[in-house]
Amino acid sequence: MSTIRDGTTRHVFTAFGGARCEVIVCAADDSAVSAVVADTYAFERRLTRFDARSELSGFNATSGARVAVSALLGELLRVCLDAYAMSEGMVNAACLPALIDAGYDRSIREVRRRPALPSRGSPSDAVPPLPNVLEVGEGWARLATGCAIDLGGVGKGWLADRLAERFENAVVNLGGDLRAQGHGPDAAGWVVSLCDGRLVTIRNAGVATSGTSGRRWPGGHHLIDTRTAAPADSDIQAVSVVAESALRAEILAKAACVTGSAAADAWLRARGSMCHAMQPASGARAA
Amino acid sequence: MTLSTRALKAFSAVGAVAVCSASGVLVASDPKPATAPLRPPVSGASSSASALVIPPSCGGASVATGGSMTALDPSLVPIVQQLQAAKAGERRAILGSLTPSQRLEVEAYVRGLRRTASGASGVCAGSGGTVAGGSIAPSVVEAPAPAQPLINTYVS
Repeated sequence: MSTIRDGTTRHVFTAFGGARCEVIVCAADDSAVSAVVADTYAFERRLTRFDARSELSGFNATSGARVAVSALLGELLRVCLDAYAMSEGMVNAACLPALIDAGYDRSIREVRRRPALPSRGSPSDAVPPLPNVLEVGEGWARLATGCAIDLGGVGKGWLADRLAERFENAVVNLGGDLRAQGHGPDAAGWVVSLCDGRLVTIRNAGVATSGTSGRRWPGGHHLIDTRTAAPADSDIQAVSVVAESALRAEILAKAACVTGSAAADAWLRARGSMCHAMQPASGARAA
Repeated sequence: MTLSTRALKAFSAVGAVAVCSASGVLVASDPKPATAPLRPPVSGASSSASALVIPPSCGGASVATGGSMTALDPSLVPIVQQLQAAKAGERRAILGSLTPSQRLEVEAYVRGLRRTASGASGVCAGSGGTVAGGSIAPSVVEAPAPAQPLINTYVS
């Protein structure tokens, strides 16, 4: 824990496979911050795809059958369906088999240490539309046989929103998906830097940055183009989006990165981006 | 040739049994692809899980009536009711009495209730009504030049 200024503290921890996470709170007790960290770990433990004992892995392993799901998993599966609709299919949680085919078959640390050879099948494969392969009902869900779900950034965005909403004045940043709550430490808002270096001041808003440079390994990265079921061949290296929630920002940023620079700006404006920044794949900065 | 009423009834019954049996055999032997979609493909991106979502008129009920969209451990139902009645400052204290996993369950459940009650998707509904410190409209402005960022967003 470090003190930024009187009454404002920053707590940094790692989760989600080594991602840097932080909680910045104004005038909040330590127990509430500890709860944020503990809940983040509990969320990861229950919903990671890298542990066969997790609830998500169990759900994926029973594809084809209607199975009972917890309130948490049920809610997140619904969120995935919403994300699919909002992104017009660009954010598709059913992309897990494609991710594994691309080489992302273990935690990102292990993949970087010992990359797997991509084992893609036909290049014409596409990720199946999520609404066609996932049903969610009251206390149950069903995934079509052979399909598998990866909650990915959607889960982190959802969690950042829930955790930040517990506070009057705080920021919860879960590996690039952040949610700012309240007016900031000096009532002037929360100053956040975007992927192009620009600074913005936000209140009660979410910011997410998605791109191809973060979770990357020799021969691939984690942003799957659902139309080809392969890592996206985008002319954008990173997109930062400010939106009303971290979840919406995450969905928009990921979809825009896959969409490419020609259409991304108009696409984002039409879907609730309050502000966004892009970094071209060449490395040159552009707003 | 004339048939008695009894004979006609017997023929009818035998015929009905034969037709139903044949239909049953045909249905049972009809091959189904192993990866058939759970629902037929539909055009348009707005075709998410709406077919499965209980409409607000049915699902907007309170926890006690079980009108939510997701099952919850019954032992947590009183907590949900407390949270729904709590003021902003009280919510953290209520959540603090739970384990991390229980907190996640309760918050997911409450989120589902809000979604059902509003009739909107969780993504589109934003966080309206959940702000601990009262309602502040989301806003963003360019920061002044000398500002130092408190938070750096980075590629996830």
